[in-house]
Amino acid sequence: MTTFDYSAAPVNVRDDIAAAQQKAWQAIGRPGSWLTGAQRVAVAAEVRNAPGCAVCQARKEALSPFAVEGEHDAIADLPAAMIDVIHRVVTDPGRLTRPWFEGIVEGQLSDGEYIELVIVLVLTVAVDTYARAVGSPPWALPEVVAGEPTRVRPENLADEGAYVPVIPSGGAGPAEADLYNPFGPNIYRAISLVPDQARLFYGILGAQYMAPKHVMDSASNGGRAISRPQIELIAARVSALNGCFF
Amino acid sequence: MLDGGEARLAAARAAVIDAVGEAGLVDAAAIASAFNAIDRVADSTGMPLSDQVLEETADFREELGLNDFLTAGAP
Repeated sequence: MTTFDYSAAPVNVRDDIAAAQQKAWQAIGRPGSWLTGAQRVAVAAEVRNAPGCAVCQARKEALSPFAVEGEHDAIADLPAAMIDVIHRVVTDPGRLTRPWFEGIVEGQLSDGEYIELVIVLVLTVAVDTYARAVGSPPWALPEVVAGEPTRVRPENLADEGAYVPVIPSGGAGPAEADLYNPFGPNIYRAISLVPDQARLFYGILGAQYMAPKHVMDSASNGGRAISRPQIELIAARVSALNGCFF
Repeated sequence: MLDGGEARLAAARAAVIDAVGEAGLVDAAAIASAFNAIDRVADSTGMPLSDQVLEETADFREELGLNDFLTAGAP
């Protein structure tokens, strides 16, 4: 079991960051709602591999990413649709489209599988980017735990204009009553189709960004060592680099 | 996002520590990595901005050219 000990890092990492990351990382190795532990670890491995893909690099440079054909330089034993999701979301997220998504979920992946894959992907991105940023080596991939996914789909889903249905704020069923506490920002609702896995990402956001109650208070910096304007400047700069309109 | 090699990254860390201290680097790195992930959630799910946010940000989105981003036209 990987223990997130950042003591070798050149700076003193907050305990809550290490704890949230460790919880999420270990969970990646366990069966989820729609994917097995082995699939989830394979996703994490492919996330790390994707930046070196020649097809992705060509697409990134092309006027349109859909003008470049070819097979990804993949290492994971995952279906082609999953590989494509991982590579495109990792390497060129700002140019994903609804028609592309609809092609993925039409007979290839369910919307639940897609969202769970996205959650594992972004957990890996968050953890790996943080380790690199503070000068810590990447963590070993999680241990795979055998077992079957729960295949539990939440109730009270709504169409809020995203690619998949979401649990709306104030509309959670009993099993997800704790999900938003009480308000669910858009990013929280975006992945709520797989609530058990979404909670792992919410934990990361709470530790690395701030809790929603602080986000909604523009005067608050969530108790961080940098000011709110500095926080939002970093967030905006990263988003600009990723070509993210949201 | 953290391209450019370890030497460049180390220099960036040192500059951040000079500006806001080690605790500031810890938090700056946390924000950057969180949003490296958040951006991918937003773009891979097509989650739209709320009408309120669209209204409140209309002026500077236009000024900063944000409406030219491909995902601005989603869905």
